[in-house]
Amino acid sequence: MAKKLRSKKGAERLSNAIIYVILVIISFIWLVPFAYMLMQSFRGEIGLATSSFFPRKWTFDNYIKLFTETKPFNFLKWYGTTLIIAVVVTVIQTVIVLVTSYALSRLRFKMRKPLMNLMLVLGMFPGFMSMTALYFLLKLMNLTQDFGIVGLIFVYVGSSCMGYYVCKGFFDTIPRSLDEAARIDGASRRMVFFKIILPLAKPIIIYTVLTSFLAPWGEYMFASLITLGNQNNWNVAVGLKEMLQRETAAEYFTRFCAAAVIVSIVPTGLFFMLQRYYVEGVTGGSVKG
Amino acid sequence: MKKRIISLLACGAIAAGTVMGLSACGGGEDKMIVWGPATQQAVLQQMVDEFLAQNPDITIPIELGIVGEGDAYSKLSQDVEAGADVYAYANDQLVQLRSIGALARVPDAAVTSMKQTDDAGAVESGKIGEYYYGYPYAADNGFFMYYNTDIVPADTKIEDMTLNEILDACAEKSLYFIYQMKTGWYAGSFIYGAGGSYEVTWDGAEPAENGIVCDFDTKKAVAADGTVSEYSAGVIGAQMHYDLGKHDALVDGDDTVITNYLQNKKMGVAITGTWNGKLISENLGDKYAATILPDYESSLDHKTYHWYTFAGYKLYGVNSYSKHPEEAHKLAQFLSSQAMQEKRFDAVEIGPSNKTVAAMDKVKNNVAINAISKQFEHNYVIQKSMPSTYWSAMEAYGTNVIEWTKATTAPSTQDITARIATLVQELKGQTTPQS
Repeated sequence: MAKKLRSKKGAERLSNAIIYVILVIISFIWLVPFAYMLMQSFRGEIGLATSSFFPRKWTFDNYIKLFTETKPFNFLKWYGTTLIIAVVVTVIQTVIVLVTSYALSRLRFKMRKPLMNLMLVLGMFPGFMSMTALYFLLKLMNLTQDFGIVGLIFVYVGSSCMGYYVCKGFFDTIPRSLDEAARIDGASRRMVFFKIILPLAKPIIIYTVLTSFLAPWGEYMFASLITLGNQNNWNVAVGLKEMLQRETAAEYFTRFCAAAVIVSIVPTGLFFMLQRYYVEGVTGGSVKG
Repeated sequence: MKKRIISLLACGAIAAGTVMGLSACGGGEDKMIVWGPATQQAVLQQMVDEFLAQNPDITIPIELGIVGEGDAYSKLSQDVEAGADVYAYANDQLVQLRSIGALARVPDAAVTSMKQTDDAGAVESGKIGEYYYGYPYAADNGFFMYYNTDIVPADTKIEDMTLNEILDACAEKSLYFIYQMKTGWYAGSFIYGAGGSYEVTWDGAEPAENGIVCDFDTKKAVAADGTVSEYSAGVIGAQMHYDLGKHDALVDGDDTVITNYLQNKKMGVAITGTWNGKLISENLGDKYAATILPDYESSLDHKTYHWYTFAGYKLYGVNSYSKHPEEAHKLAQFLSSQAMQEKRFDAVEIGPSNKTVAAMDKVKNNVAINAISKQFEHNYVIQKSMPSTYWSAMEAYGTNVIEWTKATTAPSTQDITARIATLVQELKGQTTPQS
């Protein structure tokens, strides 16, 4: 009996060891590019890529220059633009998603089901298919180039109610009896939303904030299309890509890496701070579709 | 009921506000836009200021935008009407730009004057049919030879050495010769040097039917001394391409490889363009030098042949949709003038197309730009607009040459002849490259 137990324990240990080795290898592969980028951002020598993983000459200059030099590349400005767009989009989109989800979860109206299906189907069309059409529509309203930031906010916010799915799933898990009790006590629909649902929905609010912030943060396609050569309205993705043109790549590659590190700090920080809620939000929302 | 009215009113107000707000800024203010690459923005701003100061009658505000010469077509094809009035472009986009109506004809008077002041190749690079569509300002997009002075023996000049001798000299010093064997831009260089030619007649943005003429397989190679070989230009070029690839000193690699070999102090020669000048000079220090591509001795007929670069130029184009064509032409001409080319060289070291500027001492003292100017004097072929099949066919051919160098037996002349015949078919679009 004892022998059997020991061998069972041994087998468990062995399988655990194998799993850990595999996990270590996978995480190593996964982390190497990040570590490489970080190392390159501290490299003192110019040139596109070097044969050594660690810099031979360590320096902090790449970061300093990134913020002090505005010509030819004005990183600080791109960063500000990206932040403005992302914050505005986050606020508007979060509100829209929350109210849409509330309506679809709690109210019963005639076209509810067809509407939900329609949004789901429309959401499946890849966004870039409408790229050119959107560009010309925005151009008619003069929201490209000089007013590109406004145009971009329109593009990112537009159709955001279609992202109701996870959030509605979460609302469905909040017992309807709570609403009913409140309604009997004389609360309006609006009061139910603000006083009952929202305080219980913190995880999904944070999940919505995070996802709506991240989408415009690193977006390239629309940003490049709508600003069309007007560098005053570039976001970081468009600007950084310009840094790696053939003529500038050798000189600016290390600075590009430094910029990439800076750009990733905000979303990483947000994730660390709100991680707990994020997991709750995703799992809570997916219990019921 | 009251609530519903309020919400309706609110919606109406928002909609009306949006429409009014948008139409208020609609119509657009009157201005001109100029596009140029990022590195030239500062100097471009100075030039525009100078232009406005010299022309007080022009009161339209001029705005700058960052669009590199290589991206002009991709940006303009998105929306040519909203594009810049005046923009810098690389000459290999000429046909495509013209096909979307993005290029206005240069007036005859301006053509006459630029023919006198600028390099002939640069002026020609903006020509379609008998008309000209660009004001050239740079002649620097090509490749030449950077080298470490250690590889040159004490009593010899590098210009007197052949490619074969340079390779041996690299091997002797345990240094390496870096060249991109398969990239389409570099792969045809030996064949052009031996006299091969490739021409495309365009029908809009597509090659016309049977509009591609390529004689790599039929034209007999012409040696540096003018004598004609028994082999075709393609075979002579491909044989040297193979011999180069087979040599111990050769490293097949791009800009990242150049960086690595420089840092390990192993670079003997690098075949690349002016954009790597700063990198190489900083790493090689006193040993930094550059010159034109060397001649080579063919292992087939032992004659000496030239080695050609693709020559690319940069021009200022005027958008046909510009609302201010007269001012736009004036500005484009100003930006490509002698004074501005000199100013541009002083600021960002761009190789000028203006003959007077190119002959200035300060330009000649710039190692890389002096080398490219010399290369563009004789040993070059203008890189015109190429259909995309050109690059894929050339890359497939380059890949094939690399495979030969890895095989145990060398390809026979028949093998090479057959491969060149395939290449020509692929270039003409008769078959699709396999790679």
